[in-house]
Formats: sequence, structure tokens, C-alpha cells
Amino acid sequence: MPATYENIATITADGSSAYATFSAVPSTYTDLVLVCQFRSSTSGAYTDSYLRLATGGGSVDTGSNYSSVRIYGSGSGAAATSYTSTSLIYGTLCPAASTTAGVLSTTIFHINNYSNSTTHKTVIVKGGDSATYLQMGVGTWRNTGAITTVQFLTNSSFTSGSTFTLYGIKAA
Amino acid sequence: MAIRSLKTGLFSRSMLVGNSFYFPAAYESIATTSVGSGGQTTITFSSIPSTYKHLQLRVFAKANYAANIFSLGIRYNSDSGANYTYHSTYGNTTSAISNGYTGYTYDYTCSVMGTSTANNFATNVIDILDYADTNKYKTIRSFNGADVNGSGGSVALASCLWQSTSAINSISISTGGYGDLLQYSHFALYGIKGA
Repeated sequence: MPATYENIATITADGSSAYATFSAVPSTYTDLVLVCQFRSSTSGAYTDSYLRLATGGGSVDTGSNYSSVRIYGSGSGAAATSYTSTSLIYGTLCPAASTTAGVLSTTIFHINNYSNSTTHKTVIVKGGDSATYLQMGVGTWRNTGAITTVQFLTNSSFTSGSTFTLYGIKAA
Repeated sequence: MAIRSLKTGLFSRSMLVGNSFYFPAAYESIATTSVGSGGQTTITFSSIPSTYKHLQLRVFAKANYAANIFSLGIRYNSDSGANYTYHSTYGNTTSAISNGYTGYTYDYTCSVMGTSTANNFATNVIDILDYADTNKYKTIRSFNGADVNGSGGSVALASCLWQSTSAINSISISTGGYGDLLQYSHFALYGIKGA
């Protein structure tokens, strides 16, 4: 039986870039899953991470075509918020420079039906770490094109050794 | 005959040079339904084999009902009794909320997007653990959400207990009278094997 859940590509950060970009994503899968283990080198205890998408082999969309809702818990309470007409989908908060060394966020995105060329794209994300927040969120990219690039980004840069793996899932 | 390398752990079909490696699949596609232009009220997966350890249902759904995000109803083995309990933690545009219900006749852990925003669909990843174990009630976990650019989206982590020890051999998902599932809605069932 052919493989149903396949590794498309893995990126390991070298500490110099705020971007992990998967381009030329094949359209042969049904869903995409992006698994990230990372932290940011920016100042402070934590910062944000984000997702941007592209279609047609072009550059990632930086227009105000995204929106998000997310819920997060800090260990002493929970809250939710939304972001409208933004230039990216909000991912999860992640540990930054002043958080205990060695603490990384584990975050997983699901992008179902990513290659259809009729609907807007919906992304759900869940993640957390032991020092800052536990979160889940949903985001929309108001574009009907098939996704050909997935870009995960943060502020400043990802620390060296942060890993990002994109999987494809094939339906029957 | 598959041969496993003691050095790498990889399987190959034979020792002959040029043969590709063989990786036994642990995550397999069982069946998929895509809704056509005529719409559909119910999706059913029947004759589900008992040979997996867990099931995963991946859903991309929209219905022609005037609402933002709402729930589809799932039944296992066509059980219409009040045998389903439900808990959810979810966030909307302003609040974090938790709720729970007992004595339901459906599992409501699958979300769907209504017609409030054109082209927007709900996404779900639903895990059904130990679905074939006849010694346990079945626990279902769903991670789902839909977003409408600040006008009522939500993201949820939900669980259901189906109070039955029967092995799950069919799953039906319906709108429960709240419109039809619309074209491009997509339901894919996967099996995950144990060791």
C-alpha cells in the first residue's frame, strides 16, 4: 500500500532567519500538516509566530487577507481574541530570549483541502510550551488559489536548531 | 518476503540491488467522500474494518444554513439513543468558554461553517481512539475551527464519550436538519495501526 502520510520537507534553523519557507509544495496531497519545534531570539519572555501562504508559485501574500481567532491559557487563566484583516495568520506564542534556556514551543498546523482552487483556506493550529502559554487558533486566508508556498515566521529570528517539518496526507 | 536491515531498521522487498525500500504503512486512507454540486445531508462511512488501533476523521465542511459556525451530528453504529456526552473548550472573538452536556443523541464534536461568509469552510481533525475495543466506552477528541474575519469565528477542543462497548463499524455525520452540506465539503477517514 502506498504511503498516506508523507514527509514533504524539513527545515532546521541556523539562527539567522525569521522565516521557514516551504515552496513548490506539490498539489498531490489532500491535507498538509506543519510540525514546528522552535523558539525566537527576540528580546522578552515570549513573542508571536505567524503563517503566510502563497498560490501559483508566487511570493507569499502580505496583503490584509488573513484573519485569526485564538484562545490561550497561561496557567492562571484563559482568554480569547481575534485579529481581522491582518497580513498573516497568528500562530502560537513562543519562548523568547529571557525564557529559560532549552524551552521550545511545539506547534502543529493543519491545512485541510489546501490544493483546491475554489474555497478560502482554513488553518487550525495548536501548540504550547512549559514556560509561557498553551494555545489553539484558527485562521483564514481569503484566497481561493491552491496553496503552493507555506511560510512560518517569527519576530527577530528562530534560534539555531529549531525544526519545521511539512507533511502531506493523501486521501483515498 | 520483506527483509529488515539489522543496521538501519528499514524493510526491503529483497536484498537485490535496485529494489526500493518497503515501509509498512501505519496511517492509511480508509475512505473519502467529497460533496458534489447537489449537496448532501448525511455522510456515512460503513463497513469500517476493525484492523486498526485508532481512527482519524479529517473534515472540511460548509452547509447552506444561515449561521456562522455550528455543529454537525455524528452517530456511531446508527445509535440514536441518548448515549453521547460532550465537553468543549472554545474561544471566539472575545471569550474563552467551556461547557458540557450529557444525554445527547449525537456526538457534536464536528463543526461546520454556515453561509455567513462565502467560501469559508470549517476544518476538523477528529481522533477516535481504540474504536474497535469491546471493553471500553469510546472517547472521541476533536480539534476544529472556522474564522470569519472578526464576525463570529471560533476554535474548539472538544471531546465526546459514546457510552457503548461495541466496536465502531459505521460513522454517519449529518446536518440534523440544518441545511445541506455544500459542494467541496470533504470527509476523509483514516486508520492508524498499532504496533
